[in-house]
Amino acid sequence: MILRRVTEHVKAQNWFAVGLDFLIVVVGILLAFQITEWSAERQQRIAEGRYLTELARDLQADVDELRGGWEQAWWRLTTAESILRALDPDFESPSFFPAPAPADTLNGAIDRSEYSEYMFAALTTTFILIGTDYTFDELVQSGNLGVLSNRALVTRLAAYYGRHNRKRIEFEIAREQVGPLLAYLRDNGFGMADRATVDDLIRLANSDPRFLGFVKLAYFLAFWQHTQLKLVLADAEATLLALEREIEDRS
Amino acid sequence: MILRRVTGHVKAQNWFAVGIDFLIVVAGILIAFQITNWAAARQDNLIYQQARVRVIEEANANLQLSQDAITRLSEQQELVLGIVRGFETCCADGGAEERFIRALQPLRFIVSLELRQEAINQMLRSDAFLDNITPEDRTMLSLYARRIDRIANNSRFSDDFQLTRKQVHDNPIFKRTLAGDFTGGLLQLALTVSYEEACQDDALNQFLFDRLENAIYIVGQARGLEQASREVLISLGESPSDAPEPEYTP
Repeated sequence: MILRRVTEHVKAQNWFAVGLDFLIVVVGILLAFQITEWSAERQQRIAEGRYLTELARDLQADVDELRGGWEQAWWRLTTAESILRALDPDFESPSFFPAPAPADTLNGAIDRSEYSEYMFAALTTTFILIGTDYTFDELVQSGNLGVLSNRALVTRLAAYYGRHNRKRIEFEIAREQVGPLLAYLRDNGFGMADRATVDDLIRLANSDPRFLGFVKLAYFLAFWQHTQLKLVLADAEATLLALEREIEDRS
Repeated sequence: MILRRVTGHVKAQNWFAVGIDFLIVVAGILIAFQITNWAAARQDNLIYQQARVRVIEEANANLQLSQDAITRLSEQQELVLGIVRGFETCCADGGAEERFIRALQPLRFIVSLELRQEAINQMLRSDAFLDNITPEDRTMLSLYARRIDRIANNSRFSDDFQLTRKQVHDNPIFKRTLAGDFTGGLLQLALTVSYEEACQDDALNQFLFDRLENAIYIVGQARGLEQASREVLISLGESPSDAPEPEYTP
């Protein structure tokens, strides 16, 4: 239809009409594209807000998980230390780790009473990092990272998740160290569900140097985890704060 | 038609009509775009609904897997306890050796908790679903994904640990024979020593203790999986399928 009209105008040498025909089509389409682009940009800002909210939710889940792990590591650390101190009053914690944070600085009282009569289970427990990187992973996989306009924040998130993944691997390696302790307990007929108090473990460590060695190993692992988790937790909290600021600035 | 009309309007200097003509072109294109967008959104929603169904199926499958594992491990626990009870009297009379060998065969398998995570991971890691999933559902599914990831991790650790333990067929008090049913893929074991000697064997008792401990641990993980799968199904508005526990034949 348009072609026929244009052809008619060209044949009649009605150059004004020809120009007008082109102008209407071109300007009309350009205008429509511009409106679509504005709309897409608006959609992108909405998507950015949604992604930021989801990232904050994921980071909050990380903070909660890390805090739980930190408290658990603290509890195992103090339990193993109490056994070692009972056997050696001059026992000193290793100086290459920073002094552990006192329990009262943690969020609420640490109640691990469900473990207090199952000390074999308590000693062989280690915290494993799972992490919640679904939204960030989704942004990376879909190539949508560009949706986030604050590039400094993107860099910060990438660094945080990179460090978190490395720690996750380290924690899995640390967990492997528990295998020999577990094997020792099995070989000596101690089950995870067997009732055993701290006093029972002190007696066992006093009579068997191998078990004492495993208590020291459990203490070291708990100390290491506690130290590492404190750093990862601080990292997660700072990244969450930066995200919350970004959300606040946008609103 | 539009062009002729517009030309006419311009020639007649009817600028209002020219504006209307422009508006028709722009609105036409915008409506076409909008229709395309609606169709795409409808398609996205359809894909999301299909993914949601897959998550529900997966949670039901995990529920079933956890129940199967609990059944098989409970069987293993019963078999171990039966053998240990026989060992307490350590008397070969009344077919004790035959019962022991029959009970031992299924204990040679390590029961693992092979759970499924593909659909939930796809749901949480694909940008196609973010516009359709509610924040509440996403939070709840994210929690479920973390819980089952932890259970999978614990189960893997337990399986790896089990593989470091001495296997019963490596114990010199046993030999492998072609006699009997070995449809389970393993040759039948037979004692090379008397039943009275076997019940005193440290390595054998150690193996039985290992199996018992493993069963207790994996049952704990399976119960965690069962609870998490039930909770997620209820949250998604589904009633967990309480299929009867499958019959287990040692």
